[in-house]
Amino acid sequence: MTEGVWSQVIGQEAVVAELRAAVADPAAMTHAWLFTGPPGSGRSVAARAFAAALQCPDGGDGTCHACRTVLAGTHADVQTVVPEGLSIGVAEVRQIVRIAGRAPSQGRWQVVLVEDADRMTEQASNTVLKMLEEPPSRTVFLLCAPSLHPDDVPVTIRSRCRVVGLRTPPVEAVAEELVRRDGVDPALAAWSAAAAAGHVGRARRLARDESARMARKAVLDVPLKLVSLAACLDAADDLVGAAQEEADEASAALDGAETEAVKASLGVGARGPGVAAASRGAGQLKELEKRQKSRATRLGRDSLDRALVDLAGLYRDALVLDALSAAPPEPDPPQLLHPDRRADAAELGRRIGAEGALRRIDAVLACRLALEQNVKPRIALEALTVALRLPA
Amino acid sequence: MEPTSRLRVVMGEEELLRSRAVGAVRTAVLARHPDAEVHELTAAGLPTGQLADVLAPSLFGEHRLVVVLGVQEAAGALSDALVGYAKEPDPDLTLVIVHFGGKRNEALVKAFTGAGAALDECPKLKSPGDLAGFARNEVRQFGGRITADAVTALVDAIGNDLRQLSAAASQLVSDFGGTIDGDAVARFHRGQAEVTGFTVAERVLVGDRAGSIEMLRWALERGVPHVLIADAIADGVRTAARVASLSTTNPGELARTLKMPPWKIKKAQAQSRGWSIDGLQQAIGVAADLNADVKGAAASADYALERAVRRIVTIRAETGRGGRAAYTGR
Repeated sequence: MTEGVWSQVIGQEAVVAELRAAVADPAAMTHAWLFTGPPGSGRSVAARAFAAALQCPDGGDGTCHACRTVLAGTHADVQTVVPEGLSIGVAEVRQIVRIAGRAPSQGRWQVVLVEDADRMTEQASNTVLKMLEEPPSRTVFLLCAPSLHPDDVPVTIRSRCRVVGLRTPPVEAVAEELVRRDGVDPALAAWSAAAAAGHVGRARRLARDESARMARKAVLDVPLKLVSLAACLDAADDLVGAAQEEADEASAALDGAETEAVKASLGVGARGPGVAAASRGAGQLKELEKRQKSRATRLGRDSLDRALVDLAGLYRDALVLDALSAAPPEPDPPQLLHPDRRADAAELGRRIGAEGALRRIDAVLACRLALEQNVKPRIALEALTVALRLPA
Repeated sequence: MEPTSRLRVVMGEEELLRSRAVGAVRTAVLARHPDAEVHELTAAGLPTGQLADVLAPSLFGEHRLVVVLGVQEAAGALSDALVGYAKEPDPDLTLVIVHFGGKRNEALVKAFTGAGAALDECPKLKSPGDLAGFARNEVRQFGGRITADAVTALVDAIGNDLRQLSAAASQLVSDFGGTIDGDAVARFHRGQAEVTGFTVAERVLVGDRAGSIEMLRWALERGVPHVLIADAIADGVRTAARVASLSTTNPGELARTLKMPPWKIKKAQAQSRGWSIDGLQQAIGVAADLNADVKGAAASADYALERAVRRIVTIRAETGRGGRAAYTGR
């Protein structure tokens, strides 16, 4: 069932069957696909595997030249848009659409893969829409978005795509994948898969990166520490600081090399005649700085967002445990999102009750919304931790 | 004091003071050498050759005054040429370099002062005290006198634009002659020129309802960005909460723990008086909502600001321990 390129798509048997049918049977194929599913379910992985299968003469055996180049992101007939910054702008999309209008140069299809299509600006969406309305015969669009909500994907685009809905992969499948592909110790793999609640990438990071485990622990330690206003403000500082640090680290690794490359190509630091004229390239450096800043903002926000999702999960566990303690024991109790923090969740549930847990989940979601609306992270997080403060 | 040095540096951000310093040099030079040649050059993009041209001895041997403006923009070669000249100045030439302040090309200024150049500093006047001193001095220069309350009112109403202050001073002296008092200023100038987000935040935190709304309206009127006002309010609330939430009241210790300058701690301590912990918590929530509102969540940012200001003042009044504590003598 899951061999070749499909082996990377974890726990999505129904989806894989549908995609394979489309590759095998021209009548089951269409020109635009929309991959949706919760974060970490492998939308872009599935889309990429599908692209490889489309280009492969054998329908995705995973070993031929076409499969390998698509998976490595170097196939000439697969255009990929991966937003690094906060949004996908219209300029980028126009360029892609121009290429999409051509016939494939070697493969069987001209494939355009947009990861995070929900980050397209309105103008960019409309540009893609034009293409979807009158597609060239050998061009396929693969769009990925978290959901079909009109905030994520405009209804006009949605109505022109075949929707492929991915589910949260089962914990066992994720653990198995970690053991098989990454050679992780089975116990650690099982723990990481459970702690990441089906988010494959997250589980992989937790399994492989000690600092990711520490960061998660720091976040989940927060709720029980919020006993005073000072503690709340400290916790907010720590969360923002940790996110900032992570973003700085990640972008420092990228920024320096990029800036050097652009400077070198502009001849900065050179001596001799013509140097003054060369300094006109400062605009390009500014442009690069703008892109880097946008990327750093996104990295920081993503990191904070992960922390917030973990927090909401712990309060959700508290709610579940509180409900279970009141009801007669069930044969099949619901799973916890953070099984390793069961004691903490129970303690929280005892102190804040079901209503308190719900209010706090609401507060976390409100904070995520606030961050999306560009509220300063420190201000938003302070308001959140104050709202999460434990009753005396 | 008459400027006599043949090498001069005028440095600082304040445009009026710079042009006055250059003007004084020019007057002095022309007084001594009525037929002096005067050259004014802008350093940005100035070819070294053109500088060498004006620095070279003139055919008729009269005195020359060369003013090079904006040397912070000077290219490397031009700086080198200037420094080279400073080492062997021509006795028949007065060279003034004008630096608009900041760190760029500071080495050039250092080289000039090292070579014995006279330095005129023209820093930006920021504090109300300096501005008041300037205004008083201007009035005196125009031959009048001004009372203390009139100076304060004038600086409040005009702000830190020295040209405007100077013009207002000259106008007031010519209108009222001798002594200018508060009434005289109030007849032509009123209002609040220098209002920032922090001015608003200060009034809000001490619970001054009328004052905070007034300052807010002035700030909006003067075009202070909504976001800056909202940030200042959030910052004020946070600092007050920080200070109030810690058990110690020792400013030095607080400054160390919170990594803030002592003056900020003292101000925050004064502002956090009259607040309860509960009130501060509610205020933090309001400040966060406001931050989203001014960034587009609310239909009208003006209204969102005013509502938040009123809400914070109300929270302080309802939950605070200010007025009532005084009555019970606690």
